[in-house]
Amino acid sequence: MLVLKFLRFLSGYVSLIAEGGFPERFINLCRLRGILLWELRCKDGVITACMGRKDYLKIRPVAKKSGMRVRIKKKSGLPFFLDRHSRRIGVVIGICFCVASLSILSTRIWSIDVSGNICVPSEEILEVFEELGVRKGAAADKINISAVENSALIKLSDIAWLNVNISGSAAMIEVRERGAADEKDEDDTPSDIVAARDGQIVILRPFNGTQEQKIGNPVLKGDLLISGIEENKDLTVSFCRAKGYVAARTNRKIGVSRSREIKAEMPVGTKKSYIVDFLDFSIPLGKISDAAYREKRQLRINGVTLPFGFTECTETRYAEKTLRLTQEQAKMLAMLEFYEKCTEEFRGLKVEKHEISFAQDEKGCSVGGNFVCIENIGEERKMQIEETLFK
Amino acid sequence: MKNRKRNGTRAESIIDSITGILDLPQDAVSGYAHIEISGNREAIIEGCQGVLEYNDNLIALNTGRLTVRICGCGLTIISMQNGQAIIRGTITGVDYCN
Repeated sequence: MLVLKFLRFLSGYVSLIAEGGFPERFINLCRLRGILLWELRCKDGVITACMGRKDYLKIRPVAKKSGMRVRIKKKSGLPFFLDRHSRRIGVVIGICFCVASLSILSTRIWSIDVSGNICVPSEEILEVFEELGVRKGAAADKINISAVENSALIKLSDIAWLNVNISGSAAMIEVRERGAADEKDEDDTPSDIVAARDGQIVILRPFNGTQEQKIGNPVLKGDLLISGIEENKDLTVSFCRAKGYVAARTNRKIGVSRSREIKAEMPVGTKKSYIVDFLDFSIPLGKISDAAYREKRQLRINGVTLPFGFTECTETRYAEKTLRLTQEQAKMLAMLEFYEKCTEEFRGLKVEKHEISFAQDEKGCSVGGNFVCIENIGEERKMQIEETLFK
Repeated sequence: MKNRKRNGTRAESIIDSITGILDLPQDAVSGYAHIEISGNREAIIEGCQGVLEYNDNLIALNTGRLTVRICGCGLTIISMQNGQAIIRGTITGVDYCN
């Protein structure tokens, strides 16, 4: 029945009212002339019915014979709709544009998402894929996924595995990065391990090479700890790359001083401007400098990323000013700077003892600290070997 | 005239008896209408030759040998095509007249 209704809508039909004569004769004459009537209702000699658009043109003699006066109640269907709107060029253009946009855009890539990367930035991955043809606006069916995956793996040396999924108009790139274990250190150039700092050795574990120091020995910066020269049983020597772990007790000093007068760049005004993005095209609305901070926003409906979006560009102007801090502010800034420096300096080492001192006067304040640490002081130093030794 | 009518009724009675003996459906041979009624909401009448009376409460259809009168309220002819009429509404009764 639904199909019938749809077909009737496509061909167009009229609802009519006939009155004033012999309804039965009207129906019978319609039947005899092959005029199809449906939704036929007769009440008090008034007929309401529907008939095809073309059949209505044949109704005049039937109405005349049966003495009925026929008038149209409603015109329905696609031909009438098109007739009504044929003069509205804008609507026609809009419909054509909509159909064309849907048919073209549905085969294109609207968004590309990268997931699984930690160290390798998404921009780098996207750049490689763009070179290989996976970009916003590219035809999805023309992308040879396996070829792109292989080429991208060759170009991205830090990626161990990657997979490209194109679902509708969204491309998802999943990557697995190469871990530290994957990196093969195949450099066998002979080298020694020397002390990077002054200190007293507390742990000494040579993995390759000859041990030159003992636990408890004080060493100076540059002293040999593990040698890359190994003596063979036949009293000849061979060169190797020394490997090992040498931890020593070291002293470190950190000092920070902060003047109460500082020069700082203060924001004096911001200017916002926008860029309209459509697939890979950008239309800037106004003049935008390269230094502006850009925040890209893509339109989404029900979790689907649309090909439209905009970029908000915020340009902040700064002016250099001299500020005079209070003693509390100066102390706080000095402490903050001191802790930042400590965090940076003591990464990966253990602090055994520490002494922190604080001094303050009218000009500013200073924070200082003495630290006793246990840290790895082993540093690789390549050997200077002449080529003739290998011949 | 009287003779022709007598001949007609004789022919009809012969056809009736043949269809009875051969166990054939009456509507296929005898020219009777085939009527299907779904509950009291819809009736499909095949072999309809014309509308004799039509209003909201009564539809009388010419089916050749019989006149079928469908009584009810809110009766509508949904379609009438190729000798088939579909009537929808609240059907309260079906009468047959010769």
